[in-house]
Amino acid sequence: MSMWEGISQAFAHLFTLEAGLGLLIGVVGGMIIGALPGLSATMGIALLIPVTYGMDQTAAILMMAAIYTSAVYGGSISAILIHTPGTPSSAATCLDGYPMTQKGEALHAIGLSTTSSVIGGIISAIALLLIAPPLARLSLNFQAPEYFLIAFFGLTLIGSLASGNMLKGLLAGAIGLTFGLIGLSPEVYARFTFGNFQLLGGIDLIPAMIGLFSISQVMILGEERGKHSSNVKVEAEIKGRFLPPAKEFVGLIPLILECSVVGVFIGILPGAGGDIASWVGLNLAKNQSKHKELFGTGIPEGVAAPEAANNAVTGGALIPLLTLGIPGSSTAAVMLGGLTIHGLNPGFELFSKYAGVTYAVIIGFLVANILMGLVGWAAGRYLTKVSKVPIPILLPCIAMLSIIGAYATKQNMFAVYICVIFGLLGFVMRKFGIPTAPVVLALILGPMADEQIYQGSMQALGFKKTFFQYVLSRPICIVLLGLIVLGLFSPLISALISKGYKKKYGDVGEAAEDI
Amino acid sequence: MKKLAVIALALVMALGLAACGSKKAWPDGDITIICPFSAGGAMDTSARLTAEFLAKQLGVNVEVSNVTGGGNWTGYAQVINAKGDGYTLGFSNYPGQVGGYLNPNNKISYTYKSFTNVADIVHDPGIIVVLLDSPYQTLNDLIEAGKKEAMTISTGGAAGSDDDVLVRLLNAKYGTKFVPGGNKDDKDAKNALFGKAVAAQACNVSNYWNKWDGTGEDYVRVLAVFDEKRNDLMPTIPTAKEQGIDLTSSSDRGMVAPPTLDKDVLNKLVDALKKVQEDPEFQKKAASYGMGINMLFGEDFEKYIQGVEDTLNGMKKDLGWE
Amino acid sequence: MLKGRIQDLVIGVIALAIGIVMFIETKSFPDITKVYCRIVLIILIVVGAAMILTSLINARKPGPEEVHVKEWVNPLIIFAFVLVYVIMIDIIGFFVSSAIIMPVVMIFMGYKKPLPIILTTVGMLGFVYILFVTQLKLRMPQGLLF
Repeated sequence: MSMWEGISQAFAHLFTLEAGLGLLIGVVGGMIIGALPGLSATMGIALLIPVTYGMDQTAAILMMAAIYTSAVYGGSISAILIHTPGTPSSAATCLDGYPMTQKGEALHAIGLSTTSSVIGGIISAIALLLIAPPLARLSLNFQAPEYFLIAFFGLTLIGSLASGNMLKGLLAGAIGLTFGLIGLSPEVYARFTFGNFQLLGGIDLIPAMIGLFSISQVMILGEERGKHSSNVKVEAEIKGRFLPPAKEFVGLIPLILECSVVGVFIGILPGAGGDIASWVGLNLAKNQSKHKELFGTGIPEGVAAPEAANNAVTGGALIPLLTLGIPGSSTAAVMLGGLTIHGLNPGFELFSKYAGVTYAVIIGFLVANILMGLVGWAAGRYLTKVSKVPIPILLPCIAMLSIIGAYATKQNMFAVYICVIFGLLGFVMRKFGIPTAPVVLALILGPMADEQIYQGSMQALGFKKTFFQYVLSRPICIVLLGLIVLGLFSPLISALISKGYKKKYGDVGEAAEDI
Repeated sequence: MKKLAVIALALVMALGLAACGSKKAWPDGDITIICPFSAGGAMDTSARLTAEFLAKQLGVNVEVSNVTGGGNWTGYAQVINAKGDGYTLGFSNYPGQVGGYLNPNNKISYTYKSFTNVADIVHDPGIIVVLLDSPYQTLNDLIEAGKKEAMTISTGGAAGSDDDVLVRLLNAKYGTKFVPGGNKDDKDAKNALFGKAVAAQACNVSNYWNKWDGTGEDYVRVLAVFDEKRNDLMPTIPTAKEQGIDLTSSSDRGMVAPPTLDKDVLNKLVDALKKVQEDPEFQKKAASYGMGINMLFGEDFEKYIQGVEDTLNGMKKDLGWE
Repeated sequence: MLKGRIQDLVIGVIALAIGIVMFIETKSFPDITKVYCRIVLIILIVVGAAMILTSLINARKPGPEEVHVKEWVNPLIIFAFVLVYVIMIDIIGFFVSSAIIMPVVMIFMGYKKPLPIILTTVGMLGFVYILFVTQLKLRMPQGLLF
């Protein structure tokens, strides 16, 4: 069955009341779920699977896909307004999103996030529609050695994330890596659990992240005690419009497109998801920027880049899921269960036997991204009012939502205690000028590198090689190694080049750069 | 004297009747099944399937609560410590649970005897698959090649998972040099197989129950089913035994309960589950997920688990659990 | 001048100490696990040592912003509130604990108008109940009470 036949069949499934309802509930519900700290897209879909039991196939899967992209977008809302990532994919957005709110530009930030997320999502939907099978086959070439190098590459990004003191950034990364050691090792050996089985699973990412970003923020807000009586509202006036000014937008387009493509690609890789993509996007933006030192003070690139990347992951993650039954991210993994329950077994059959339903879902997913933008645009102005709520009222609300979020992921109180402890840690770190972002990145990438070294070693034995020989024997790995070397040495190289310019042209060169 | 005795007897009977009358018959409210695995996975799907049909039999809501963390033991501990009134139950997998507490390093003080073992429900026999373009046509082809040189077989979990144990058993019994892949889960193992990073994949019937009988791009060749008899979902695939390899392996999922579970409740629960097993709707749905149903109750269940424990105990050195 | 650099020194020492202690722990690990753990811990130790070194070398130069510990009192009290809140949830359940702690914290922070305090608390708890308990069917920590 050709793609066009499939698409024409799709319309019958798509234009039903149930599908439309599923789409709408998915988009709005997804945004709310994403915005609530700790409730991620993964959790949202997991909790909603039973609700979809009686629904029509198309409507059910479409709702899940809509929740996915909408939740990833929704996470940016709380990241921007209250420095609390709504989902792990939005942690990177906190760094520039919250400062923008502090400057009174909350609406502008939300507008940027919405636009970027929509574009990222649409591009991934187009990829899903047009080139899913070949991309899926490409993803199979990425195995343990490649994933190890990707994790390694991600860890080298930590250096660039620490604007300012690189040593402190490295310390944060080291802290994250050390925490990542706790728990069962890949070869099932319990490390640093002190006999407490609760730690066998290691330090859970979401409670730790909520602690580092939200609870620490709650503590920092505590400094405002007594400074606001009930009559005085938060100073900053909400400036700016929702849609980014044309000139700014045009300037951002190359970055957004780039991040979207990268996001789709990361989404396709079963070992990597939105959280990694957002950091890679942010790093791309920083590398290509002429004013690196402005990152973290609240600039548009700092919001647009991660948001485009993380939404582009959603469609990308669906590609290997639908074609091979191998989910491209942890959220897609939950959708796999959803597909199975609805009698849709992933595989190339989805594009032939069930083409009508599959293409309906893909097109519906495309529509969901657009709808998400419209909802964001409509709600934007009202959402920013959150930043005007007096701090004494806001503070306990953030704390409460954070605690629910930490609880909801695992449904046990231990996770909440971890969250609180990391909150204290985050507060102390922020007070000492140690960035918290690298800790999160290291918590994700450290265990990933660990896993992949182990699996890679096992695979290498089957090829009669050592791990390193195995790595070097794979072409994609060579390319990745080249990228890593380039990434590590590029600051050095660009510094040398600019020194060279200065020598030749004197200070005129520098002034020319500013234009 | 006699009169006193009669009055005493009457009083006792009256009290007894009153006590019976005041206790509301189970089930009289929502039941929760604690599933220590995350939503969307095979364990969760099995638990929800059971919950749905158990609810039908009992006439009350049966919810599944995913309590993850602690290597699954947070959830298990919650079940063990819950009240035995029959409103909190649990779901567990084997050999996973057993491996968890046998590993001395995990320092888990519970064992399978810490639970009331209600019923083994899903029985998912182990299989070994290769890609359609693989040079190995039969299980013996693979084994012969494995005797000559090291080969990696991807598994749906690291040391202690049923796939991993199967690979090690082959090595122990037939002198092969297979390297267990140590993958994180089945999807990871599948990725390794299709990416040609490994020679074969050890998994279970439910992973490929609808992807073995054809030539599609995501189809595999099943070399053997490691069970006593042939599998209904893969009827033309010979068992390992038929091919001269005397090994069985499976991933089982069952229902557990607090150790203090009321005996009457247990009996009612077992009766309800027996009816669930006979429900044609249930059978149809389970088959559509590729799940084999073979319920074992009480002593039979515990005999099975003890067998799993014995097998794992015999491999402690190999698994690194001394 | 020195004061600023003392922070770095302290942090460096703590990092170094933890790194070394954990490294010694790894002696009992099986071979494969040892490798990755040691790599990570060596990074921690090296970074800790580097911080100690830079703080000593730059002792004369102006250091980073001084940490005014006096500023920390209120945040730490908030932390205590959060910790007590979580313990209360574990013991007497989520909704009761929230109903108590939320207004207390609002008042602690200096807000005095009773109506917004009550409305916010009731509103938030209502929202949580509808979304989490009813729709998403999440089992909230029960404890002794609700």
